[in-house]
Order: sequence, then structure tokens, then C-alpha cells
Amino acid sequence: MESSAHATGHPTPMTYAKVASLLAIITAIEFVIFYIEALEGVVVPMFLILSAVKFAMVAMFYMHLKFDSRLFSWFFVGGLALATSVILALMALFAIVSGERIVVAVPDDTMVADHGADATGTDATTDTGTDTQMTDALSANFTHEIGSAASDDLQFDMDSLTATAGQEVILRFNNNAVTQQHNWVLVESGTKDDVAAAGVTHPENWLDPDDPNVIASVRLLNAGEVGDVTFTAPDAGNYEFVCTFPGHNLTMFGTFEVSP
Amino acid sequence: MEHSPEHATTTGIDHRKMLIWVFLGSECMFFGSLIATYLIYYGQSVSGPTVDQILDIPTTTVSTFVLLMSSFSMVMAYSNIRRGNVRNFRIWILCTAILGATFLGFQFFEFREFALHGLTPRTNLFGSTFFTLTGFHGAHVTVGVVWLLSLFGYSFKGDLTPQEGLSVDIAALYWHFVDVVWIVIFTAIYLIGVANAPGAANG
Repeated sequence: MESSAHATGHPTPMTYAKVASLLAIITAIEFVIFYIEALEGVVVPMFLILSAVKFAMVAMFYMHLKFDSRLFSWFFVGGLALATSVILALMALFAIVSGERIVVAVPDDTMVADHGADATGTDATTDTGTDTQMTDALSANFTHEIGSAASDDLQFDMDSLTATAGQEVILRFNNNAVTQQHNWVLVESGTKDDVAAAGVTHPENWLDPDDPNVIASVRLLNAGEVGDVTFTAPDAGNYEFVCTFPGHNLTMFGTFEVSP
Repeated sequence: MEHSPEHATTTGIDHRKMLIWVFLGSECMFFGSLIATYLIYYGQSVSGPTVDQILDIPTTTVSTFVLLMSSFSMVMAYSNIRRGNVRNFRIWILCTAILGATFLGFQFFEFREFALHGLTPRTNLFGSTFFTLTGFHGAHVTVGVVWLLSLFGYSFKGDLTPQEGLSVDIAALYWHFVDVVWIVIFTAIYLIGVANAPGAANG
């Protein structure tokens, strides 16, 4: 196509038409290979190559970078290179390359007050290690399961939980939120807002470790994390559970009924 | 062929042309950040609708083709104004604007269809990032269409002489840029996005 360029360094309409045909053909090829199941494994590199060709054809001929001052190419390629670096760096940072949502399980963090029996007392601030350790830290069988809303709504996915007095409760709390941190705290009836208020000065868990109204808790979890707590169900009666992250206690709570 | 009447500069390059290329370089960064945002949240939506339930490859292939062909008619308009053929320039520039408007029509139809299927910018991460990216691209196309129509109008005032081809050149560079951005979006978000989506029928 170079030979058809004018003496002034600009291509002829025929060159433009040839580029247009090539662009149309490549788009048709992309459409076809999208539906060919046999190409499943190689379809991504094929799309990348085909679109790179289209991109280059438009930039070189239609934007006539091929025939213009090199300075323009540098401006454009420079911007493109920076943009590509940003995209790749962010993708690496978010570990999307593996295609997996990062779900981190955390060890039991049992804060057991008066009523509790099974005080494993794992240090909440200890960083979780390898996958195996994280999995081991979760109980194999849990008796109760609750999650936060699968959005950033400040809600649990259940309004109430029940147990019988003296029962060994193994409660699993899934933080299903997109970005929000949540914890799960079992407190004496009517004290959820007091417990949350007392927790404001303890930002590591938003919970005062010596709060007498707290019966059991799963520590503050990041979005996507899972935590367990094991405790003995207290005396029969009504209790409350709440997320004590500042402000969450207003909407994110439920009742915990213990039957005799 | 005479070159456009360009002011003498230390680089020998007209400032306006330099400006459009620096601007396009910065636009790469702008769209790069929106594409990156889309990609890092790809597959992270905790509720539907999902990519493969929403995006329609056949329709978008047609609109992609329309936009690519608008780049061809744009370059034909540029070629004609350089040769002083104002009449043909008008035909091609109008053709480009119509193709651009057709692309916008497809996008309007597409967005409306998605909303009817329950996907809005507020629905989930896919909706937020998808509409931000394609919405900004559509806004660029809209600006381009207005720009092309204004050039069409100017041609009747006799302001567009072959020596003034630079005005067309600059608009054309912007238009082709909007086209290459769509080439990237179509590949990354539509073709690869749908082919890689979990539970997709194909790919």
C-alpha cells in the first residue's frame, strides 16, 4: 500500500478503500470465531491480535501517522503505553488475572464473656497465613450460619436466629458485602447501640473487649471474608446480634432467641 | 498539493495539530482508566444481570461495522477537501455524521434494552463500570457528530478551502480516535468479556 502513496506523503482513496475492506473483513472474522466452539482456548489471543491489527490500520492510514511527523506517533504511542501500563498494573493489583474473587477465611475469634464456655481466644490481629491454615481455622461443622447482605446494604441476611439454652453454637459469619467491613456481635437484649457506642474507641474491631454486654462475637471481617465463633448458648431469653461498625448498628441487627 | 497555511514554529509543526495529538494522548489515559476500572471489577458483581446475559454480540458487531465505515467516509471527506473537491467533501462528511448518528442510535437502543433487562448504572459493578465506559465513549461520538455537522455547515460559507484542510484533518483525527477506542472496547468488553463470562454459552 505504501507504493500508492502520493508524493506528498498521503495515501490515495484506493488505499483508504483497501483499509476499509480489511477492517470490515477482520470484524467479520471476529464475529465468526466468536461462535466457533473449537477455538475456545485460543479465542482471546486471536481477538487481541485481530483488534490490534484494526487499531494499527486506522492509526497508520486513517490517522496517517505512517506519513506524518514522528512526533505525533510518539505522543500517541506514549499515551497508549501509559494507559496500557495502568490497565495491566491495576489488573495485577486486583489479582483479576487468576479470575478468582479473593475470599479470605479468618481464624476463630471468640470473645467470650460470662456466658461463654469455649474460649479459644485467637488473637484477632494475627495475620492469616497460607490457604491451609485459613481453612483449618474455620470449623468443619457449624450449627448456625448468617451473612451480611450481598451488596453494600447495611443489613444481615437474616432477622433472627434461635438456639436452645446450653447448646454449643458454632456460628459462621460470611461477610458477603462488596466493600463494607462487618462484624457479628451477640449482646444482651436492648444493648446493641450501647455496645456499638462503646466500641467506637476500639477501631481494630469496633468492640470494647471488656464490654460486659457482649456474649460472643466474630471479629471485624473485610468484604468476602468468613469467620466462625464457638460459644455456649446463654440462658433462655431474648438477645440481640448486631454489627458494631460505627453507624451499622442502626440498621444491621437481629434477634437471637434462646429457648429453654 | 499545497500544505495547509501553518504558522512557522520551532518544531515545524502547526500548533493546532500538535494540540490535537497531545489531547488524543491524554484521551488514551482517560479511556485507559475507565477500561481498567471495568476490567478489575469484571466478574465481581455479587448480583445479576451478568455480562453474558446482557451483551448482544450480533447487534454490536453491526454497530462496530458502522463506526468503522464512518472512519472510511471521514478519510474520504478529508481526501476530497485536500483535492479541493468541496462537493464530494460535503457528501462524505455528511455520510460520516449519519453513520456516527447511526452508531449512537444503536447505543441508545442497546442501553434501553439493558435497562429493560434490569441493568442500570445502579444495579451492580458491571452496570456501573459498563455504562460509565460506554457512556463516555458515546458522549465522545456525540461531540464528534456535532463537530462534523459544523464542518459541513462551514463548507457552505466557503471557509473550507483546500488550504484550510487542517480543520478537517483535526476533526478527522478526533473521529478516528473515537473509532479506535471502540475497537478496544468491542474487543475487551464485548468479544472477550462475553466469551470469558462464566456460564456463557460459548467461548
